[in-house]
Amino acid sequence: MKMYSIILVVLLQSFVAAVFSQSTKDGFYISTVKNTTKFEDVNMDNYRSNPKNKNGEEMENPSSEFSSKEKLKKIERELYNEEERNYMLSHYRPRAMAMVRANDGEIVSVTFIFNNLEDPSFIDTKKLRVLRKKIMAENSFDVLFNGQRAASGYIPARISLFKP
Amino acid sequence: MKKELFHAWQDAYYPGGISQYAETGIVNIEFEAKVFKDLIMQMGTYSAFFKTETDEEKRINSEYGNWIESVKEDISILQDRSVYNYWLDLFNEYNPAYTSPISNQLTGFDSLNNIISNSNCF
Repeated sequence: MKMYSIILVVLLQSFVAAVFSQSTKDGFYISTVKNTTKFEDVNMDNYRSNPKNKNGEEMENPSSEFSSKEKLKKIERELYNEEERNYMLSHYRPRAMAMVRANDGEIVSVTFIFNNLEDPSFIDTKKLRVLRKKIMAENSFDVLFNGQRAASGYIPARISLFKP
Repeated sequence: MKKELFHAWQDAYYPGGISQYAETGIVNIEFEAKVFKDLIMQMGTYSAFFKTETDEEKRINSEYGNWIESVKEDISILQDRSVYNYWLDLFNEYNPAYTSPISNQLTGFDSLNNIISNSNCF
């Protein structure tokens, strides 16, 4: 009976490890669930209050405008050559989820997401850290809620990466 | 703007227009428009689920984003009505501004399906 329990625990651990795994490197929590691998900014949880108006009421119906696709392309080209960009785009559907300060549109945290990444170590996290730093420094979003600007809070925004 | 244009499309597509759904079904109309907006968005905020203050909100935002991205990759995934209506139910629960009785006439999200099937973008 005890032997069966041990085997069951080992099998269960193997199953959990196969479906979900997590580690930390260069300021990212790296986790894989099913076919999606996230390099989550370790600071992301510092920016989770919902967008509110000056009366402290939660705001609805967001719309947003990215500051400059050209600036983003320039950053990508500085860090990754054409072959790297094309390979990642065609194989891993790379994208970023930025946490945006709702009152001024500044990007305060960036998480990277890839699909079908067989081995997370394929991604150079040191380079990813530089990419995160540059995206935060050189890009922003103009975010409105029903046409009004928020007074406080944060909102996640998607950024497509390596688009030609 | 894109969402408002989609509302105009819904108004033209559904016989009798969308004003008949001002009470029962407004949540279907709004959610369908938000899914459309989120599907065509490359840079910006997901409009249906954007709150992340609680662990539950963060989980829903992340899972909704995964669903939208998987639909962008393979549009046939959108045809799974049970999944679409799972998100519709959650949208009704988590967005008090749009909460209403769900219209069973609109659970097929036909105007979204029609515009996608006539598009060469997917």
